[in-house]
Amino acid sequence: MEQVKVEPRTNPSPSFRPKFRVRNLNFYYGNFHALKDINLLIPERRVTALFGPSGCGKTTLLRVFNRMYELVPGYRITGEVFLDDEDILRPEVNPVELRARVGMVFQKPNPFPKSIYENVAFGLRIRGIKKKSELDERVERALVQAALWDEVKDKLFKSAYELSGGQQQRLCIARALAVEPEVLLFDEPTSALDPIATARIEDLIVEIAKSITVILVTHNMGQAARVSDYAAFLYMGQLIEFRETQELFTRPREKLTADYLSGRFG
Amino acid sequence: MSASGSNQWKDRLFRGLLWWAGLTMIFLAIGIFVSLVHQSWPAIRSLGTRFLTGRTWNPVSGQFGALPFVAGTLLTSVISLVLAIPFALSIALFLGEYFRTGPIAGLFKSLTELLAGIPSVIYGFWGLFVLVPWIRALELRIGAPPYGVGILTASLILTVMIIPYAASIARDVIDLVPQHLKEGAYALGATRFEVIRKVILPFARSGILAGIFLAFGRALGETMAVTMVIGNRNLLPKTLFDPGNTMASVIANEFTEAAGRLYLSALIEIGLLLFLITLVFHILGKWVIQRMQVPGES
Repeated sequence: MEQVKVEPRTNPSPSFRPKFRVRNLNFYYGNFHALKDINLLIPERRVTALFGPSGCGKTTLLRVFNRMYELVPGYRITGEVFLDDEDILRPEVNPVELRARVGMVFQKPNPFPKSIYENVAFGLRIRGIKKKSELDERVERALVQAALWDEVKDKLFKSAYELSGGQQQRLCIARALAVEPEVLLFDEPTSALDPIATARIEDLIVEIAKSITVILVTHNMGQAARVSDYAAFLYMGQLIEFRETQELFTRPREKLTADYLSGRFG
Repeated sequence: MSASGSNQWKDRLFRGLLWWAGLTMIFLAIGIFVSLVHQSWPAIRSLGTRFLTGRTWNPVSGQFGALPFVAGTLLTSVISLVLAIPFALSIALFLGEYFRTGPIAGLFKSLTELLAGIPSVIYGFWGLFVLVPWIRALELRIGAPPYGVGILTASLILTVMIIPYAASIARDVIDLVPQHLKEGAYALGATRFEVIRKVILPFARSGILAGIFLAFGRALGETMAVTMVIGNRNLLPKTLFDPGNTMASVIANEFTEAAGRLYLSALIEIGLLLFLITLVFHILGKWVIQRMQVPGES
């Protein structure tokens, strides 16, 4: 296998306030070295896109930020990942509490087999919120934020499966927003959607990032260019380049990035 | 032309075979029902409702009341089901959620299924030689007549026998709960217990119920092991420690020595009744399962 020789690049004096600080992160599935010495700062209240060819480690990296990798045994992880000032990889950090602060939206819309209302209320209920008025208010607020309220306000108690794919994905976004996370992780959120639904989700991501830090994994370079403020290019488990999206797309510094952007591989 | 013609002929033959195989099942079910009714007709005609309400089964004096057996069957089945559900559900959650992959998990899964295949006479012997002395010791301690055999012993044997059925079906449906639903809940900060309670169990509930009903059906009809440990007394049981009899076990016990047309016919009527009870629970089960079904994903 070709070994890529690049210095892991970080931004030494960022012009933003970092929400996450990733230091010397290595991740292994069994003997497979999936992430190699990642150093990265994720800006607060911006959209950061992680992109690269299949198998480059972008989804693995995303699942580090809320420790979702723990659901699949057989991993090993070293390094540090600070959320604000706390290293979330330390065993004392409770992943359940971490995931309340760092929400996630998946590749395929995955609403629960419950009503629209109960989907959004799920995270609130497991946090012990029982008062009907508070639930009603927060469910409505989340659905408004996810730009879904007008379409579902008359059928809140219908099954979530009656919605279209794009609506289901916005419902999943509302579900994640309802618990008021500080960060929202998106794992290729539009890969199962048609272009119109995709455009709506993209608008929504831009809107959400005004108040919440967003990290977006995408294999679609157009999407990264449209939606993100910063972009990180990963290749074979290494972070090749990370800069402001516009700069990275117009003037890539690394040959690998330039090759990938011009469609020479991947 | 000729090739496609011969293929069409094969297709028709295959379809015909499937049709006949399917119809055979229906004919069999109807045939069993009709012959049960036919054979039990003398008893139905001469005993009427006394058969259902009578508490005395005394072939010598010509009294054929089946109530003790109906009670015995329902009691042992319901008790064993109630006892089996928590164990079956725990096993299913353990093998379907906590411990799903790897060779040892596979071994446990096969062992669970293997338990369902052990001949019931072996369970019966185990009951006779292990369980009966235990129950007798218990009865001595609490001052009940120390029969050892009885309703409780039969229920416990049935419990052990039906756990693998309920557990292995429930395991399969719990294993089928989509990973993306579980991840969705985890990503919202749910604990494992919350994922089980709020995602896995609701999603799997109709399948779990299907397993429970199958187990109940097994308990209703189980004959050999029950006959060996229930005590075979044809009286309505008053306590759990009393010996009793079930519909299946009385048929097994008395069929060979049934002298006289009415006696034989009454035994067959018990068979008919068991058939109907099983049918009713089966239909009830289907209905409940359908109502519990989680709407499919689009």
